[in-house]
Amino acid sequence: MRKVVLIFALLFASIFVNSCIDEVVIPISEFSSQLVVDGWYGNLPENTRIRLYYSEMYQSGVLNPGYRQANVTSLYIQDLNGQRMNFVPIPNSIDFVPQNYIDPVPGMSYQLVFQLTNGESFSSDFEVMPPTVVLDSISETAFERLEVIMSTGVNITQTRTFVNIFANFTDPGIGDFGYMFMTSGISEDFTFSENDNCACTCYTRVPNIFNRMNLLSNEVFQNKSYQHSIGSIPLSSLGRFAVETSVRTISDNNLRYLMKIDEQQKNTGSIFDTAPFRIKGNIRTQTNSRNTIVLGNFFVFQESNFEKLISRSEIRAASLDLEHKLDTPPLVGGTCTEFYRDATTVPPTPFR
Amino acid sequence: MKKILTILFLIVINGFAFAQNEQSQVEFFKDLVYRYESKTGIRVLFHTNDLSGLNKISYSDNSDDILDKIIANTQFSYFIIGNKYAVIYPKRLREDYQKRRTNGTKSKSGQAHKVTGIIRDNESKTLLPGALITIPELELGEQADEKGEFSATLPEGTYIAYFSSLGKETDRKIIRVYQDLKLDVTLFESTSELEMVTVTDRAIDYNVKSTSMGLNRVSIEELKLLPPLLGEVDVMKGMLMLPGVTTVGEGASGFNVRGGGVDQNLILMDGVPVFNPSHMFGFFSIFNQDAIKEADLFKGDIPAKYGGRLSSVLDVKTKSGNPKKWVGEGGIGLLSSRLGINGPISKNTQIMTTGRYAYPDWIMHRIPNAQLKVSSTYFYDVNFRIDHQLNDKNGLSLSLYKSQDYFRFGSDTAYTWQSDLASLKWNSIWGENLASDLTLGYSGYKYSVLGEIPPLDFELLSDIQYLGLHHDFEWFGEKFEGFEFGYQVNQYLMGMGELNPISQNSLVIPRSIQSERAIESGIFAQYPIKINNELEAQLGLRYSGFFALGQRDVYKYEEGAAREIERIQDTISYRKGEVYQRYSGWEPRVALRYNVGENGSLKASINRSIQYLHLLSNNFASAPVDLWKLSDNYVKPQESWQYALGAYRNFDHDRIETSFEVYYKDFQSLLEYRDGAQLILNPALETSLVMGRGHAYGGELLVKKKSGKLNGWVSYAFSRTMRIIESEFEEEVVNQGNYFPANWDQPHDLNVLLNYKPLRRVSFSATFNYRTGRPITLPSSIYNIDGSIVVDYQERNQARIPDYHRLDLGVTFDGNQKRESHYKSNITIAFYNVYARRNPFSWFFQPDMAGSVPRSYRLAVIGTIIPSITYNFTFR
Repeated sequence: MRKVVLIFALLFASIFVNSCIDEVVIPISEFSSQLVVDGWYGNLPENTRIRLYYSEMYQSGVLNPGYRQANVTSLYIQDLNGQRMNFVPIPNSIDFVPQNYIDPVPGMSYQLVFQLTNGESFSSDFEVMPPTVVLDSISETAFERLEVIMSTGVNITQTRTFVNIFANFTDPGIGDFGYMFMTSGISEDFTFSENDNCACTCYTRVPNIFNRMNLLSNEVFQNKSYQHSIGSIPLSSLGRFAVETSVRTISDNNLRYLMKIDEQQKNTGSIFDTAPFRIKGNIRTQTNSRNTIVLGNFFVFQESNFEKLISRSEIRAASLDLEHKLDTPPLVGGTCTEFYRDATTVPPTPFR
Repeated sequence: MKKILTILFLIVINGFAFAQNEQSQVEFFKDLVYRYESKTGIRVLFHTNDLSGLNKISYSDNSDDILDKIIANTQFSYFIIGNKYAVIYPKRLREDYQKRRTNGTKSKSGQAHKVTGIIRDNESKTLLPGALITIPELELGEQADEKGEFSATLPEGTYIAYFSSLGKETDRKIIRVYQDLKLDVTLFESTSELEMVTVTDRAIDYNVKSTSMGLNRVSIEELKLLPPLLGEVDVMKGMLMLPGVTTVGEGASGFNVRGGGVDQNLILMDGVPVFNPSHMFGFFSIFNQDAIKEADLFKGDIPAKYGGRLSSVLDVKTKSGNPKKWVGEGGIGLLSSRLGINGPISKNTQIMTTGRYAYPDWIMHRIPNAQLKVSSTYFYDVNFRIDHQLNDKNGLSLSLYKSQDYFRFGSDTAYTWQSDLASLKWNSIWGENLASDLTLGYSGYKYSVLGEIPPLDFELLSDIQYLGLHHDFEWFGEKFEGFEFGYQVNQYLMGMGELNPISQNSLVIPRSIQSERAIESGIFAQYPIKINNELEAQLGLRYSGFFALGQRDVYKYEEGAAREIERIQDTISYRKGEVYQRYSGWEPRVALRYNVGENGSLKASINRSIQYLHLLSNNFASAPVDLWKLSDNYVKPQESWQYALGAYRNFDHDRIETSFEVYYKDFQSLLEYRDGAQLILNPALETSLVMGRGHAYGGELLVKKKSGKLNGWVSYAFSRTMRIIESEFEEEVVNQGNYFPANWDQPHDLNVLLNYKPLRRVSFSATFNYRTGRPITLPSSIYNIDGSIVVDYQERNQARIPDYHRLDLGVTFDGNQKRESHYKSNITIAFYNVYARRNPFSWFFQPDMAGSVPRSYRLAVIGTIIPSITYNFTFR
């Protein structure tokens, strides 16, 4: 009887591994290209630009960058006082850049206005320029997490250690607005070789250590110091890691729009997930035509950056109570790039 | 009376012929009476011990006078009861009685007395509607009514009365009728291999002869014939096999009836509304099989005494305790176990209690999956019921229910929800002709979501408190028999959301959305009218009222624009108890039945319903943590008219039921959500909601074979349900103001259920379900916002996921089933989703990493075959 029960238990267990999510090809028969606005105005001229283009056909996992720029007769940002900053198109791109960049004023409201060559006019809601927030510091904390790893062809769960990286900052306490963190880094990765002249240390750029949008409302910590996770990296190697983070403050409306995108991208189709919907931003047609759809949003932001080189070996040494594992460095011939193909052997600035 | 006779009434319903030559005597007569029944519609009741005394006739004899031939020149006779039953009995019984009368030993007074009583089922602890009392000496037979009660007027004397019901061993009692008599008879399960039919609960042809449309009653015995999912027999799963009842997928709470949303079903347990009928996201229902007596689903003509929901009423009744002895029952499974006990605590008082606990953790934690290792789920529920007979005319019953669910997926978020139900019912008989049921009910439902990531650790709470008083009357007098009337008053208090920090270091700021309170009331009357032999009507009328009560702040918005938080211009505050919004309306319920021949009828019904409660959900499917909302200034009551026509016909002497029904429903004031609606912790919910209208239509076909070694049903339903949201403001328009299918619009739904019992102790069951895939919203194009690829979706619900189909198989091995045994058991082995189809619950689109183009995925909640094994037992 015990055997029967065990067999049924194991069969039953297969529910959980087979209650499945798998990639499928879904025929999308309907495609309609819509006008999109991706406009950003902030304290960095190089990051102030308006992208005005038409959406492209969706194919699962296939990037189709052939966006077509929209033709406009006028495109500008204006403040409540009517002061305008005009934008001009960059040829062969979807970008429009300022013709006469004006430094934004925190607290001032700005609006995007444009007219297509077909005569249709659009404008955004007025958005309040948030204040600039500079990070006080970056700190790290080691932690353990169960991971499924492949060992001799079998999936097993194993406790692994990671370091959680936090941004420490103080909210200025001047109203509701949002934070948007973008954290990348450079990982120092070791290999070993029997070759005495091996360039065995590689530096690999990691584009995003948070792996999705990192958004935060200041609703609960206005005028307070706050610590917020900006990503994590594994502690299974001893190489250093250069953290580069930028923090953008954005208006509260902008935050709500981006949170809808974030929600869409985290959707797993379960009963706890919102059914999909068209995300509507703050751009409106001035002709009140219901048939005109415009996607995207106009954002106002203030950006600051922070960098720190963290030492994984020091973090490991400071957290000996954790169950650290160390991955064996890969064996290479003469250079680590044989294994880390997108890496460089030349130490970037933070490592010099 | 020299010899004690026991008559075992065998109902022989078998669709398979037997070879005659080698038949035993039992088999010969079994087949003989089957043919007789098939030809005449009269069921033959006899005792196996008497068979040797009957004549054997030619197997090929198919004449109407078979019964006369088999008793010719024997010691037996027979009599007919109501042209439905023929009872074969020893002539001596009748002759002795007549001799006594002739010899003057009859009653000196010559008076007649009324004999009334009830007939109980020992196994299910319920009363047995349709059971028979027969007295051969008088050639008299009476059938128990829908409540399991019988009544007969007998001349003074001493008689042997036989009590029987399908599937039960016949009991014999000597009754001395010298005054009015009240009997309480309990029947036990039969061990005869021929008695494999289930207990019929109403007149055999109730489906044809009643005025009811779209009514399905499922007894617990019928449910036990379904292959169990995860080892549990389930009321809700049984309902989903009926035509017109669907679900959007495994894991979704609730069910949809004839194009209605899950909130449009009034689910009652002992008269008290249930706000979430599901455990573990619908894999189990809150109804424990050991506690349930029966379940009625009204989806067409809803009786006037029910109100407050548009689409259906699922009325589930628990069973009372055994009045004679203590009985225990339960089951042990891999995922859950249950135990119940019931019995008498005094002559007039019985109790029933059951408990159930589900423990899937021990399996989940053995699976090499990091998420599952730190996940956990369980539930428990408890039923308790006590019945007390105060006197001949008054009885009390108290029914209590409590359950709790816990679910944690991953390490940071946990969900709990719990239901508490209580009903106190006083049934009484006023004089000769009036009876009433007074029910005081309480229903509480609350859930919490626990977020445990510091420093934003929080607890989100919401709850519902319902208190209701229902008083129903029924008139039994000769004039106006069957007239029902009554009144109802319900109070609702809805906690619309409260957010609290759960640690001292949490930065979460406590927030609370103002709660909602209202009184809902109703009066009703219903009267059956027999116009002539063919035409019968049921006239019902209900008037309901709704009063939204303060304390409440009501926002006033800028006129001429869509409601937005930014457009709040004023706030009107109402004091506690002050009525700030009221609604009311008439709800006529009319049904007609016209007999077409002996075995057929045509029916029609018109039904209006008003619903003052709304379930808010903009997810893929309804979840246990969805919010219920009352009507208010901005959210009007939902309304529907349903028009239905049906044709019914029984074949093979009511063994095979067929029906075909068509309906059209017109919905007004349907609640929908705006794109991107925020429904949780929204102080101005009306800014996320829009009102619309819609319609549903369809046809339902049911063919049901009720008995025999092979029985079951096939049902097919075609249905459509469409909605439209129009507004003068662009922000409030959905699908550009055009009709779109509701989330649960699944045009084709086919169900097949088969049971086969080739041997006495072994039965097989199989179910197959096919339905069209549910609507879904698909991508239209993609675009890029600051490096993130965003999917632009088409209009709402313009595509469909692939069709759903699934086969389940089960086999039950019965252990010792002897009547005298104190312990009975069976083992059920079942396989859910036998061919392991990965029926999609949804499609979704998710990027691998930030900045990448989303990939398309299918979520199949159950992607493989699920075996289960359950050991069930009963002891007494």
